[in-house]
Amino acid sequence: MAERKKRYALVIDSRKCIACRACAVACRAENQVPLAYTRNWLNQELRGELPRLLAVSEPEQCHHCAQPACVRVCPTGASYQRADGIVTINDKECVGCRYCMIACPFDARFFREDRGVVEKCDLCKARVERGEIPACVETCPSKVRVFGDINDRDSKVAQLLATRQYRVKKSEAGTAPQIYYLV
Amino acid sequence: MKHIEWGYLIISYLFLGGLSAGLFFVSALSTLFGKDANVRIARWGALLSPWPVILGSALLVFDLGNWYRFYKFFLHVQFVSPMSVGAWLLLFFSLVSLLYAFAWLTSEQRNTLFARFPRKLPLLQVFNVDLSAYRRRLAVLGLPIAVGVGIYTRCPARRRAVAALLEHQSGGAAIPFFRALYRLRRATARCCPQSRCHCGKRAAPAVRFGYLLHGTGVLRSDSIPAPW
Amino acid sequence: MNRRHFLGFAVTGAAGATLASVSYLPPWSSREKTAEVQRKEIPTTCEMCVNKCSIIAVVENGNILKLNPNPESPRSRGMVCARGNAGLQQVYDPARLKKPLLRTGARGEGKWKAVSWDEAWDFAASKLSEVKQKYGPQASIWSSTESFAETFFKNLGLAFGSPNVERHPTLCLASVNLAYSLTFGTVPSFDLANANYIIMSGANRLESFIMPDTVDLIGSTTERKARLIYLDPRFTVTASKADEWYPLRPHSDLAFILALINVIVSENRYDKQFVTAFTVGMDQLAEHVKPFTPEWAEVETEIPARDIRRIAREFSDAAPRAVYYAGRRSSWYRDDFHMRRAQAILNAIVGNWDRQGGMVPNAKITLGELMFLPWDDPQAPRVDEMEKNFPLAAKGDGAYLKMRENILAGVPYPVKAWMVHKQDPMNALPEQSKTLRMIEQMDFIGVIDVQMSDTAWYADVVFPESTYLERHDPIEMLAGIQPVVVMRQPVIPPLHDTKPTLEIVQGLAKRLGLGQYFDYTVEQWNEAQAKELPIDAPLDYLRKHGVWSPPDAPKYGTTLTAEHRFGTESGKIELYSARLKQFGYDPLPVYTTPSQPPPGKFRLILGRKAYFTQANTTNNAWLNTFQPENRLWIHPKAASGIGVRDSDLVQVTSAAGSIRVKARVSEEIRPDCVFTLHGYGKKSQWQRLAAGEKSGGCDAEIIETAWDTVSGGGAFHETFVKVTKV
Repeated sequence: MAERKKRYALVIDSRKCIACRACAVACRAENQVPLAYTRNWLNQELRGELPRLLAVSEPEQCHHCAQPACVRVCPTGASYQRADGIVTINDKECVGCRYCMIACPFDARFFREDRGVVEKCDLCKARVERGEIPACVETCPSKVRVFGDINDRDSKVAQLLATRQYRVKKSEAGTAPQIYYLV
Repeated sequence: MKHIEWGYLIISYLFLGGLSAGLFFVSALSTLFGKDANVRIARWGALLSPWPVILGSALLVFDLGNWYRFYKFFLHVQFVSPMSVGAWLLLFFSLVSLLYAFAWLTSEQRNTLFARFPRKLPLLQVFNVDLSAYRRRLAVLGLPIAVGVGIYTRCPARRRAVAALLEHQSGGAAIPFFRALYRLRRATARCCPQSRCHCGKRAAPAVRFGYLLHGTGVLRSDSIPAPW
Repeated sequence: MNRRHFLGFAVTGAAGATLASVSYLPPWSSREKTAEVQRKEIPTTCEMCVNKCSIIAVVENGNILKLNPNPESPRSRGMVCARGNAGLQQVYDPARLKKPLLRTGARGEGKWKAVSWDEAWDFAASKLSEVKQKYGPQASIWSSTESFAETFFKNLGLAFGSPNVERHPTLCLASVNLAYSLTFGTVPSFDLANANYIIMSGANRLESFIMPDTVDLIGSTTERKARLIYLDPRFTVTASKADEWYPLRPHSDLAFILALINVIVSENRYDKQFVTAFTVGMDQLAEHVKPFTPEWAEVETEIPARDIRRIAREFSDAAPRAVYYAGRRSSWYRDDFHMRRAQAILNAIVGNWDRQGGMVPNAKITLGELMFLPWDDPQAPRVDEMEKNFPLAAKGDGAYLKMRENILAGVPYPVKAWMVHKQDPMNALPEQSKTLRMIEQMDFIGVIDVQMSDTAWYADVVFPESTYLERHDPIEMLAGIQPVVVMRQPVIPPLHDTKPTLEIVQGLAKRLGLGQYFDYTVEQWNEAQAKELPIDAPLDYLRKHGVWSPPDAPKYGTTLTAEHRFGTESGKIELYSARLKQFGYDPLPVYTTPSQPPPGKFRLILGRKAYFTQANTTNNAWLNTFQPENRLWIHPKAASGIGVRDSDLVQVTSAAGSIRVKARVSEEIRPDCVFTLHGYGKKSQWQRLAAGEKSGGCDAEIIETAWDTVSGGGAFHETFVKVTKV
């Protein structure tokens, strides 16, 4: 039987997120992101009136879509999708036209003024290649994010997707995002 | 701030691109279908046409994050990317409109031009040819490219302009207005909202209606800025 | 805030420029430039807060690039929080202390001269000797916050002859520790990973302190459907995750607990077998709680009586896997001790002691001890007169605020020298104006720190300590349900001219004629300590793994035997404490209706954020970015009453002082309270991000001085403030 292709994805349980920002700082250290930018962020919402209040905190980053709009529109091929599903940018090919930033439905990309290239979360591909997990996933006290190959039936992500209800963001954009939010 | 410069840059490029394409368009039509009375239009259009777009392209190249890598645009062609197609169209249009302008030079103008070159290398004189016979052919070749330039470069450029204004944080009435306009535009798009390229497909009515509601604020958005 | 706002903040604001200029890291480009990359992974222990998680430092070509979790530590549960990750900024901060400094201008002026270690030591030793000669060795205080090397600093003070060792528990958890100690003989841990019903009073475990209980709590409530009942006048992160949140009237937690006990006792829902076998005082307790009905408590707490009754029933039904969480920072009210005592009693009568899902006495690992030359115990009594004022409290920790009062009054004797280690009393103590007066009275102030704290700013000599990533420390045993032994080793050599605490202490000791008491190295110290560990070559093991934990699973029920004697006077769990009565305190918690702020004023309450550790990380660029300015939380009704809108500058005035801070108008707090964060408005100009009025007001300036009557620990929620628009 032919070896099934990998598809790395994230499964996120926002209920567990306590907005402690460990993931933001871990990403910054691991990927050497200057303070002016961030590869991941929190969508926070506060609703209601005392004493009936609701606060939710939802982590987000590049969704490493299966049909990435950013890859499609890149004129130089700098943005590309690896065989394992990770969408990343070849720094040496990027000319900094920033068209991919517009194409992304999630605003996950940002422009590095100091280097003239576009940057975003790459699921810590260097760590993944060493057999580790992305920094944001590993550092989290609540273990909000789960990382893995959804094509591997034995992986935690595959099991979660098989047994829990989930949603993705902006599915109407047609990019097939690979961050699954458990509901 | 970079973002503001960006916005003005793109808007001015819109203008310049449109101007060049328009000039070429008018000149080409005059060349092909015009009478002798229209020769002046044809000539002026031809001579003026390359310069706005070349200026605009230069501005765009220097606006790139790494402008010296601009040649990479021409190592690939990505048909689904308006940016890629647009870059190639720009290249072709610049070349064709330059040749076309050259074709509309009179012999005296040509000779004066070549006499001005500081180094009177015999090699350069090779280019001192009379292309006036090719005016019609160049007009025919350039017309569709001019049309393409008009459409394809407006698409990413306009979106970058709107996106640039949206990114600008200082607020003001312009932002909500453009945001609503942007969403309204997507709602009434003739193409599927996601690809933003004019591929011609009609969006499903339900999807377009959804965007209309979203743009007018009836439907709530995913995330609301929170004070934590 | 969402990412757009974050970006806007960081890029467009003036703060953005400052942030960019103070965020400094090792040469990041080293990754690309050198072909040969030497990568090492070195385990050590974090010091960004007191939890001491185990981490693994990734070092490439001599630069620390990342601090990863050490999965081998059951203590840190495989995580590194925001502060732990930001530890890099502490090492590479361009504004950190790099050389010993001597003050050249007036105190607080910020004029410094970089000197050699010899000069700094000579100066400090001569000043200390002067004070010793003129006033006696007791005229010095040696104050410190928990660290692995704290013992060396404390010992220096004791060897010097001063009994005045002051430690941070007296500003933090003195009352809760004492209450549980007097009830159970020891302070237990809470098995939140296995508890099914958890009640918390203001212990904002999911936000104010990221520790194993945090991990266990969020895990239990989301994965195991454990029920969380949370009481807090403020809607914290813990409130947002709780099943039920009650914004109770501040200072009425004791009423709530007494009512729970009332229901459980009157409805015979307590664990009779446990109470008979292991406790004393049930009869007195039953009689005592008779008046504290849920209806009575509803009036005091604003929590509906039917909910109190229901919670009491659910709590006792879930027992023994039900806990009333003790909390950590218990520096709230003057009678805080009694509230914690009531908690302890409630936990005792439902029989959750030493059971899975309940409260578990901490297991320990025996460490050896280095035999060093002992000195004579200090002769003089403590300046805070612990025996007289707080006879039951932990003498080794002291009573900081009473000490300050005494020193300002000059009783029982003058104090003229102050040595500080890893502490920032300027921010840790309330009523900063008094701390400044105390500073004025000192002939000598010496500070050991890694950054120019506010207290260092007012010192005469500053000793720069190597950061936790640059030094060897004594190995430390962390007791708990799963105890561990951890060690700290340098992952890079010190970047600057800094030294670890033991060497700083030795330099001082030598010049004070006390060198013989500190004649050992930290390696020898560790050898002696590690000898008792049941593994081969324990220090090598620790250097390789960073942490060791006994392989056997946590034990429950080891104290639930007939032979076991609890560490109390009676040998049993004391619901009724005769010892308290003996010393003139209430043997059972007595409730008096607390005072509430008069009309036009608010109660100032305090709390912490997940990305800050007290006051010492607000200048860390990677953490400051999440909250660059302090804010005063105020309810919209209260705000409109004084004409204040969100982000307006307000003046907050108490009897202790007045500060200016921007308002944050939000539904997340009761209208009769206001809340502010800790660690802003710094005086030290080296802390550019957190200094001055532009970073917001300093809470230490306005909190009034008050302390818990039994433990002497600080009481910081007793301040009523007036808020006006500026």
